[in-house]
Amino acid sequence: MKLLYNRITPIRIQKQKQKRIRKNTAFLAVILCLLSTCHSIAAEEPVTINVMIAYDFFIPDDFELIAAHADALMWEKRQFHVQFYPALIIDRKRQMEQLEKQGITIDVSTTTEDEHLCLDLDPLLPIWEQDICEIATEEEIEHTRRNGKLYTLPSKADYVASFGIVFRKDILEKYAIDPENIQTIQDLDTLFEKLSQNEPDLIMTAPLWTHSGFLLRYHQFDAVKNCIFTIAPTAEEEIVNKYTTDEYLSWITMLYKWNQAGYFPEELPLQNLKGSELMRTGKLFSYFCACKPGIEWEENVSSGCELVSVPLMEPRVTNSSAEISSWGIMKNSNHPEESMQFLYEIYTNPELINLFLYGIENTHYVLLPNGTIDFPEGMNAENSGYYPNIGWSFPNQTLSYIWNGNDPDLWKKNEIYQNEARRDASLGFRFDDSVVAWQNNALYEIADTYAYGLETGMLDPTVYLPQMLNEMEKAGAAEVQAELKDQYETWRNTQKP
Amino acid sequence: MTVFHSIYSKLVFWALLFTVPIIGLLTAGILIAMNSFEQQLTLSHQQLLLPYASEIEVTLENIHSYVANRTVPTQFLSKIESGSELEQLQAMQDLNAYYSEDIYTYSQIDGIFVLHNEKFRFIRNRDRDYSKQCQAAQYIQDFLCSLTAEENPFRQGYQAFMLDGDPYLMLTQRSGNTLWGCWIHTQQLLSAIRNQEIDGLTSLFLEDENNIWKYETSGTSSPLIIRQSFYKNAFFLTAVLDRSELFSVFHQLRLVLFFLIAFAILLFFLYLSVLVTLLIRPLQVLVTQMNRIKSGDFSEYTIAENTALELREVYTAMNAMTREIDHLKIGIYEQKLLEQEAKLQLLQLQVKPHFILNGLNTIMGFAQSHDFEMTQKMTFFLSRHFRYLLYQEHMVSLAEELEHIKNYLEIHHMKHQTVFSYIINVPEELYETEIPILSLQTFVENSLKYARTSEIKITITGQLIKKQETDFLMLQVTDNGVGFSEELLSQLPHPEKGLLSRKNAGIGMYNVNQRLTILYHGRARLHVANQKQGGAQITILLPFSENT
Repeated sequence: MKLLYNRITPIRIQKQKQKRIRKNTAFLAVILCLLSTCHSIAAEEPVTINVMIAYDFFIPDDFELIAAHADALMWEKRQFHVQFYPALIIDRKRQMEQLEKQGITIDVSTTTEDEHLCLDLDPLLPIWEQDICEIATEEEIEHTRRNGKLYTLPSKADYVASFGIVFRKDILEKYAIDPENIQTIQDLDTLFEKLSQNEPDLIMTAPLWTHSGFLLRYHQFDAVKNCIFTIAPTAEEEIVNKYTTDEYLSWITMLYKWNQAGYFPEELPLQNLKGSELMRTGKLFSYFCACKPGIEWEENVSSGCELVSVPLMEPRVTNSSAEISSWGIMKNSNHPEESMQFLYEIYTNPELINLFLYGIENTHYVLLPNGTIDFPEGMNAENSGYYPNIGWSFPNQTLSYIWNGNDPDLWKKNEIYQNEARRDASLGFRFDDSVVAWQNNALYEIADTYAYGLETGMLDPTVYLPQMLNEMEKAGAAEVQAELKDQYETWRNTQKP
Repeated sequence: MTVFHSIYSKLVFWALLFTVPIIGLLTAGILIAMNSFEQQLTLSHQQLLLPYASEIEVTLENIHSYVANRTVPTQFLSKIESGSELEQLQAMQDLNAYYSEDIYTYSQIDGIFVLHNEKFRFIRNRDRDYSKQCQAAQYIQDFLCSLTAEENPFRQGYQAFMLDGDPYLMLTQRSGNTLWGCWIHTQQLLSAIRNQEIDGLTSLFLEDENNIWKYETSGTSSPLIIRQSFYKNAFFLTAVLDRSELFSVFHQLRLVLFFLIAFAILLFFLYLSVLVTLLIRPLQVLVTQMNRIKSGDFSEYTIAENTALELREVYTAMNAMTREIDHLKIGIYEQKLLEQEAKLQLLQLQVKPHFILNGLNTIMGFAQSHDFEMTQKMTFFLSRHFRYLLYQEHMVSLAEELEHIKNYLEIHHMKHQTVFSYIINVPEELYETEIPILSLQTFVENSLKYARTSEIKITITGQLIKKQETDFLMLQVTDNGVGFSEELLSQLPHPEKGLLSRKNAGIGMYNVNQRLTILYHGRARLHVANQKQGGAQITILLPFSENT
């Protein structure tokens, strides 16, 4: 009996021990669960910001692929996700509104036009790890300000360009025309006249895009982006209606003449073409564009022809030109800090920049031994899944690859070109049209009706220009002009002389 | 064929007979399975294109109904022709917006064309190649111009045409005087499929029932062509797959199969070698050992360390058996020797009792006649004679035998008072040669008995001769008697038969003959003949070696 007792006791104790252990572990498990849930609740879900990328003519086929890569890049670098939404530039506002309806808030957008929708960036500047001065000078930042507020950061893209035209090199050579001799509208007129006689089947010229007029890149009137009135680039800095200027008149008159002479493609509004696309067919002699270092090479690739560029005006830095590659954060963004970080990446990360500019290495381009890039075997501008040519819309294009054939010193040349460009006095000024919003919109509607026709030579300027101006008068142009003048003078006074 | 009878070859044969069919069946089974899988894969691939084809069909049907129902904006068209510049501009913009929206909706459309009042216009899809669109538009324009008035191509539905290797579909609708429609670049329809990245796909294209679209197919080595018809069998979605790429897994499988079979064969040979080691070799060992015993080698077999239990038992029993045989053999030999010894002794002791009795009688006679000298002499010689007879050894020296013969002759002389003489012609060097006891005396005795002449003359000679490369000691006993009878001589080739039939006269010779056989193992010879000059001649040839 004694033996039996000895045997039982250890077992009983063991059982009690086990019970205790079980209780303890259960207790521990519960604690851990609670902690983890608390932690998981407290821990943030990964942030996702929405970025709208604007393309000029069409959304490339491989956009989704690029977006996925960019998202992966951002996740790796910054531990937040980025959802990219593509839009056409002309369609951007509509797209944003549509997404808003779906409940998607865009955090970062390219080409911010309406600063009412933009976030003031001054408080977020400290997020930039690098000193901003390494990227942009004080002066540049000041110029980027709009009425003192900083909505975008200065860009280093090749936004400075001069209104010009590209010609087919072979035709020029055939007729022994020296592009140096072409500098004015008159020169162009003579040229077209001569050529059209010898080449009756050749279309003389076309705009950069048929859905815009010939004067798309005509930057004389770009001082005020959101108003038909502008600050004349003279010493007096008077406020003028850009449609009333002599330059404008001389241009549209000539354009009308040319259209009548049959120098243009037929029924321009129905064409839906880029000048380079028409050039590719061999039917076109020239088209208008914005000239800058490297433009010839760019247009050569787009059009498949060898072209010669002729600037028709000197390069200038204007408010709108500076805005071309301006990226900003939307006011109603939920994640301003992450958005700022994304902007920083767009400015400083060559991987991200090249991804959006050129696509994925070895899929859309290949790296050549000399550091430039080119299409992979069998690919060209037409059949590539990603050849958007939106380098101009990215703030720091200088970090991107240079395409093969292009000048390797392109960025240096660009910098010189930009530095030598004349700077408007009105840089940094933004017109707030809230007071005269109704009139301003009315003016724009009137302009929309007539401007395209005038700038494509479809409307007789002698008839329709006065008609347009008349309507504008009636719509309250004077008020808008007065308001602009007021604002500009006020702004001018705040500026250092 | 003797090779075929060995156990090893039998084993190999039967093993092959069992394993080859099994491996063969397995291989066949796997190959059949692979074949059927290939067929199934092909079949499933046939079905591969069905969803895509139906998708394209839906697209085509949508566009068809669009063209069927969409009204032509004649108001814009007429305004473009007759209106103020501004009206024209606005009409153009409106027309563009009108059809651009449609193109946006039906993104597969490459372009929409309108022929109104002999003016051909087209609105293009901005995402596509302009040059190709111009080409297609030109073709369509030519086609429209070729139509008669009131002809409505819409009834024929989609029309296929090909330009420079690009396949197109065209759909034309008549609305009063206006002909309008759209065209589709069919390769665009396939972009969704191409993005799927189907394995082994080398080319993908659409075919139409009238074979207007012709393509150059790059020759793949083994093309698998899948054709899926759609749109009321007017079109076919054709995919050309590279069979080898598609079924590359089978190639790999075949390789695996080959290796498996090779491995199986290897295993088979391994099995055989193991079998040999475990069974065949021990068998061979046993066979060898038996053969050795047969040839008289009774050495034991050393058992290796790691022999199997059963084999160990067999080997141990075999060794015991070998030992037993060895012992028995020795036993038998020894017994045989003992028998021979006894026989020999018995033969040797074939003493003629009557000679003793006669001798004793003679002694008694002499004693009765009080001839004490003769009695003494006779007793002395007789005792010498008997002593020699009871001499236990089988072999004596020639000298001793001759001495005994002399003694015997003296006794005979004393007994019978006959006249005889003898000559012994034996060189002295042969005196020490060993000869069987009583071998010569027997014949001397015979001569005395059967010579039958008044003056018997006995000659005993001994010499060494060489016969057939062997040295023999030749001992001859001759007399000048009547010799042997012809009858006796004719029977002598079989002395035991012949001589036994003669009582007394044959026994002595038989005895000597037997003892010679036993002692010299048949190498000694006994010749019985008559001399030329008359008289018997007994010749004994004993093998002579230096140490006898």
